[in-house]
Amino acid sequence: MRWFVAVRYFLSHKRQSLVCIAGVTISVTMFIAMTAMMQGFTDKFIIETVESGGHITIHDEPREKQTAILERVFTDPNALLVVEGVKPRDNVKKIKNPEGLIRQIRRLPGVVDAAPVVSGDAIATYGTKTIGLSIFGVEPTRQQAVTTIGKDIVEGSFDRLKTAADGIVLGKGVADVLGARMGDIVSLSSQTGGRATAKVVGIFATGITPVDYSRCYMLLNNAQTLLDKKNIVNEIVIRTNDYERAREYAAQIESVAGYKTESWQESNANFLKIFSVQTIITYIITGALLIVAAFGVLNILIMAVLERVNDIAILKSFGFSREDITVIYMIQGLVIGLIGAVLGVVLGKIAIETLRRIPIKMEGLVKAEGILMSEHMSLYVSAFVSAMVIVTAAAVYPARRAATYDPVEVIRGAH
Amino acid sequence: MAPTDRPPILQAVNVHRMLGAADARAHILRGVSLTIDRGEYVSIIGQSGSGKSTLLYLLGGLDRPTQVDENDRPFTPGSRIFIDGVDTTDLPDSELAAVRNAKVGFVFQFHYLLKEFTAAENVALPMLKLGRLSRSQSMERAAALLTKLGLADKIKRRANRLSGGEQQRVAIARALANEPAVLLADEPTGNLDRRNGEIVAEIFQELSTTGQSIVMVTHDVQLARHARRMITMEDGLVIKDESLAHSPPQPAQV
Repeated sequence: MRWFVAVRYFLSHKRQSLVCIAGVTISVTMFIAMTAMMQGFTDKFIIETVESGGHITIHDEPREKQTAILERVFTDPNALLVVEGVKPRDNVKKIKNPEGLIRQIRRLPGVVDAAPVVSGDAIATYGTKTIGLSIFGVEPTRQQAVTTIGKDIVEGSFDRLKTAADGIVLGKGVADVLGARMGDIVSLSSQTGGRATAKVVGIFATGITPVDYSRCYMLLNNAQTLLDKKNIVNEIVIRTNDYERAREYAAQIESVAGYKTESWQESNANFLKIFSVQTIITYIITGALLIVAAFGVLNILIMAVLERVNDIAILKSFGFSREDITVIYMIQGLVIGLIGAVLGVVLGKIAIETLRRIPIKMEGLVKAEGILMSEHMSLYVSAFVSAMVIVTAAAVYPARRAATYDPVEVIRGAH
Repeated sequence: MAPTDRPPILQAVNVHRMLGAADARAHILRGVSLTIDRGEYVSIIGQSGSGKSTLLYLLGGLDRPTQVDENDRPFTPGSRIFIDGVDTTDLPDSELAAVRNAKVGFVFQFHYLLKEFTAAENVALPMLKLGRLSRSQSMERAAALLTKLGLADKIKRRANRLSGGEQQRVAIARALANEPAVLLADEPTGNLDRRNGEIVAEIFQELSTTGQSIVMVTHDVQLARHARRMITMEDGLVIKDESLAHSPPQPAQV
């Protein structure tokens, strides 16, 4: 009976209702398309970063602060401790017994594999071109077990590092800057004065600009020589079974390893912060659209109430309660919300598929051949639910107002 | 008051009604008590402002009597209205609405049909609200009522495409939808031409002969004389309550 009245009223306002529905539809579509786009770039960044760089990295920095031996013996904070004649000692930073540590780590829950790395900075020169590099000395097979770098190779292969004695795998950006191609020999020099030449045996592209423009891979031994870190491993890269849980695993590993252990989230905190700001802005914009749509609903329902004061009075006179009237107007709002949200979800899906097919070359933080779109069921659900919630909220005021009309006043007013 | 098996259809006890806020309060009804029995056809006449419509709305549970005077002193005895034996004084809004739905049929001067609905749908709405009949049964009964009132060919017509007289007949059919204990009419012919006014008067006459209790408010003495009891109001009080024993006057010659 309530639906009967509500639907008839709804249909009598077809044109305004359609405009209102369009408002809801557009905002839901925008919500879905914009969020999918933002999420698409974020996901691409995260997946490429995480998968090519490793989920967790142990660094050769001890967790606890080094304390002088005397302070370990005399723990009284008021004791005056003086040691004279201390000479600076060259503290070689390294991870002690990396293979033992790796064996230990691999037994931890969640850990899939771990690989030793020596990393350091170097300068590459090819002809007249020069570029600063982050050198990663790796064991190719083990590195490919902990990262997907092997799959990011666009020319040559990662495994060629094993066969070529002086091979190097360059990031696509690095290769472009140097103008070096496969088989070319580049000269490398490290901060500590080490020098080497290396033959380009592979070029990789992760799509993450900062990585492609700075990273290169060499054999562990060669890198140790170049960086003057003989037999030193200063990073252990770890792959886990779920990168979303890297933070929690990292804490666990750190307690075992005793070295500073960073999850990918920690290592990329700056970028992740940018993404979260972007996400907030997206939500604000789409939220504002939804609110505007909700005002449309509010407006049309207030009109529908004012136009039908007489109807409300007569409905009440023959027994409709306040609740009946409230429900009749809520239904009208909800029908607008429901149709708008459903259409919005459908159009959102279409928008995603369309945008995805537009070929645009993009090179920002992430390099892509088109607009990256990430769609999850949760995206559609949240767009639908937030539209329904906001529209419902907008319908409450007119519906309550309709219910409070005093039929006697209305009927008297007509005389 | 001794309880009886069949209470009067309507009973008003010392009914007061004040309208308006603080300073501009108007004492519309100043203590009206009356009893209307089953099957009576009562007309209430009076000048505009005499409180007759206000009384009608109160009798039908559309409004509530005022319980305290301008100095916040309660009226004694308290203003009470009984509809078919039910004391409506303390009923919550939703239950009062249910009483209106089941026991009262209102007809107003302006016909107040829902213009997006057909004649039959307008008549069926109170039945749907009552919920005793199914949708199709309601529509059947609505059609039957409209046929009885001479609107057989207008059953499926939209309310806004009916003439004024037709609309008022639909409104009467709607008031009768749930076989109300009492039909309350507020100037039912006030907005009709003479011919349609007579049709309505005849309908009321016929309904009355079938035992339908009717209370009709009008300022048209001619119309009021169709009833068998005529109550005259002035300044919020009943000043005359007479039985019209004689047969009602013949409808005026055209």
